Amino acid sequence: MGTVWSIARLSIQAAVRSRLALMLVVMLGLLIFFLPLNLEADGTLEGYVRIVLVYTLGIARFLLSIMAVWLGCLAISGDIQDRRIQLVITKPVSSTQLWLGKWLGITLLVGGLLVCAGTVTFVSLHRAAVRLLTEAGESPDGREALFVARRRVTPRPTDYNTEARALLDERLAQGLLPEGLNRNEAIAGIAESIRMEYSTLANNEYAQWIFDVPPSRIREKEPLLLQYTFTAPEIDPEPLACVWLIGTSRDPARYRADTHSTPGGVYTIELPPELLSTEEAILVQCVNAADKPVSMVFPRRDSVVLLQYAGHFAGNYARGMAMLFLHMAFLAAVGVTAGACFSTPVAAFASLWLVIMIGLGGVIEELSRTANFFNTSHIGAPPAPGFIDQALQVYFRGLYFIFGPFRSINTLEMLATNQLIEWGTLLRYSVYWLPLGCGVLALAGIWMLNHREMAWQG
Amino acid sequence: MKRRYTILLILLLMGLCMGLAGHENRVLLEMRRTGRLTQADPLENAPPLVAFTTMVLGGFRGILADALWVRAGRLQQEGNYFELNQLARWITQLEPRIADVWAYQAWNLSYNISVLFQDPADRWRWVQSGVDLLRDRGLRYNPASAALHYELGWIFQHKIGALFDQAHIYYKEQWAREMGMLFSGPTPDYALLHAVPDTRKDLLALEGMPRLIDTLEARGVDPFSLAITRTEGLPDTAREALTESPLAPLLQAYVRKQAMREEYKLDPAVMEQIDATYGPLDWRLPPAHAIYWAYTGRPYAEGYEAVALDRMIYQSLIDAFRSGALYADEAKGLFLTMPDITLLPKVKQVFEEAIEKHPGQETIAQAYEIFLKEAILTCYSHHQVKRARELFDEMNRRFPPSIPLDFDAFLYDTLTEEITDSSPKTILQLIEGAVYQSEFWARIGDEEQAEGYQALARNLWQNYYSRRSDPMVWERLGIPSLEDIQRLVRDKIDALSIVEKSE
Repeated sequence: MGTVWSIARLSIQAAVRSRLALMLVVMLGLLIFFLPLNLEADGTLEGYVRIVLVYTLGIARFLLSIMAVWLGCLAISGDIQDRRIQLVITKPVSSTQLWLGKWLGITLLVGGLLVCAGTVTFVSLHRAAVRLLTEAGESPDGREALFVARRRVTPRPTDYNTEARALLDERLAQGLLPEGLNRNEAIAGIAESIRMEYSTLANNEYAQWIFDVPPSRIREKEPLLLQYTFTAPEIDPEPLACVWLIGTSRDPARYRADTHSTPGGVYTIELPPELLSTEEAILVQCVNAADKPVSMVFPRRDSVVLLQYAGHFAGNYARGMAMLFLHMAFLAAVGVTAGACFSTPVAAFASLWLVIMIGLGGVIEELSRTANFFNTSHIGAPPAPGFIDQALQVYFRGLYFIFGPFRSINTLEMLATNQLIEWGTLLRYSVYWLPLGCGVLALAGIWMLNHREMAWQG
Repeated sequence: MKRRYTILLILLLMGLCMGLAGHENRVLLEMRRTGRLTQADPLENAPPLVAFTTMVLGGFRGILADALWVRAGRLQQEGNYFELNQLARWITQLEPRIADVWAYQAWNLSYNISVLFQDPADRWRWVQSGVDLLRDRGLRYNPASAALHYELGWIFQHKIGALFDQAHIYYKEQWAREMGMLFSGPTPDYALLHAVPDTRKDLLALEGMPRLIDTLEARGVDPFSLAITRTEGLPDTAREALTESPLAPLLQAYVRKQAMREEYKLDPAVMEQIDATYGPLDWRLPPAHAIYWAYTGRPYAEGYEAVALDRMIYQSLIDAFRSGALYADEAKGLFLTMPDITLLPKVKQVFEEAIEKHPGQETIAQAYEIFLKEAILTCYSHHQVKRARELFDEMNRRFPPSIPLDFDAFLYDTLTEEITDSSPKTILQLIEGAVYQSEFWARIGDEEQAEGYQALARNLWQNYYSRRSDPMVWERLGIPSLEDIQRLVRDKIDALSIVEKSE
């Protein structure tokens, strides 16, 4: 382990001497201090705090990601190019120690800078909140309401498949559908139609959602928030009246809220904390009380969610920083392995490609589910996928299998919108990025170091 | 030695090339200007971000703008609005010379996002964001864009001035409050504004002014803030200094003039011209500002844009005629906008000119006919029967009806039509007119007539209310209670001493 630390120390020293790294650190420092002065939020304190957080940390993440990848690429390929590697490999140092040392050095350097950036941002956010509240003549304690973490509780999933299956069998028996249709796809389609039917409220109709909120997680005195969004088939939407009843199955109307909301907006209703002093599931009902014939559509399962207090912002922020750190460590591993495989410019391009592929995880996921790549007409029944379609689907499924697990959640937006980053999420990504991601990359890098000619004459 | 000379020679050549390029650039700019290849001069003194993006990023800024646009769309859909203001600014600064980008972003902030909030204060913040974006930035980079003048005017005419937004009354109140800091009454004191120096240096050169400024500063008041225009919120000592100093009105006028120019981009000289041509207007209300932006955009407009701006002027003038007189009393919670009949000759004149200027535009003539019809009713209901008859004759002369009606039959038909499906502004004019008549007859002792008009006012109010009893709709329409209208009309009659004149 002593050897690994020594190499790590040396790689930190080399990185500190790098002009690019120095430039990025200077840029980072300047941006953290000066960017907040030039940001314009929505005119609210909450908006200001959020925008500063997203942009300051977003830029820190961007610059540090570049630094992690670039320094990783240079760590081995630069040593080979400058023949410094000959000083190392002539000593009793294994390839594993070399890779680990380089990776550890860069990860620690980037991690240290991330901690600095994170701490400065955290402190300046609190100071800005106190200053703005004082300027507005309010108590600085008001910032407590801003700096919280809330768990997003989605409604209990409803099983529409049983109903869909029954409906499909009925239609088949009536001879209304062709015999050879894909049963699973048909059930999924019918289930989606049934879900949409339940989620579309004509005048005076109602929909309901059930939320399982474990009582042990509930903190008394903290309001529970009901957040909802809906659409309406109107070109020029106007506010629609709706009545919300929140309670339990035994007492469904324990709390009532009358709202007028414009379709397309995201709205929040503050619910009294005592509503949760029960071990029963929470029942939320919405009645379309519009004074004109307009349907309200709740398009997604998470169109109505509960936001539950889940702790102070500091803990959530620390978990967010840990997520960013794990991502940096992974990027450093990408760079070091690419540097072990290729010369510096090629390694940089290869790393960039890998980072882009991981970033495009969502697109690749969508493509992996696409059956017809060329015939995208929505008129008539879709034709059977051809050979190229099938080959492309296999290709994208393969890509998704490889890159999918390394997709990151949007940590900064979660922090900015006070969404809780669960310990479970952090643990899951730790496993993906450290033993799995970095581990695979380490094995590849070590293998290359063992098989690559490094002491060439040049 | 030879190498040093070579480097020196290269540097000299580079300097020469730069000098030549600089000279050629000036010539090219002049050709661009004279050939009207651009709307405005190249950006000068632009903020670093704008200079950086326009010069350094070159064609790549389009890609960056697209990425920001996609992000803005996603955040808006997800309900994360806090970033949208910033994104709108960046997107527009990446494409500062494309008017459509400014117009879309401002419209999105003022219209699409504002309506997603329930609290009027939140809505107003977003409406203002749209106004600020166009007025403070869009027009700064595109001063000769008639389209941007139109868009800005439209926010005043439609978003703030019309009745379609649930919170329009709140917007009007907030705007009137802001403007109230700039003028003591409906219009600025132009004579005083003329007398005020344009620069701080000239102001400080006035004898006694530095002492007044020092005194205010010593008493903890910023002498160049709008706070000094209202003495209510000031410390006693500062208020005393302002009341005692004969230079205080000049300092207050200077601060107001600066705020008008710098913050609200209102040029008092242009406002005076507008008042002379179309007014006097009540500058605390949105129609005056819609006219201002249409008027200032008019010299740059051609073709359809010219028609659109002229239309904005006469439509806003009609709005000012319908509800361009403001009666506001914060203490009593009173905020009423009532017809301003004095504007009638100006509205007619603007219509005549627009018809003459755009002979192919039939819609202008149609709008004029509708206006005359409405004006006849308004004048009649405000006891200006002679003027109503003159307007009726003029309407028949200009737009001969297919079935001729006499004056009384016309009034009956129009009144029935208006009561059935008229706009709230028109119905308010009618109710006010009836109350006005009732007060008038009561004051000259004809109780029977007075009671008749009182009953008519009550019927109109109740009839309108009974068909729009939804509290949300009623709130949006902003029709005051009958008692408030009566109180207001009494105050107006007292102020004008109409009864004495009639006698």
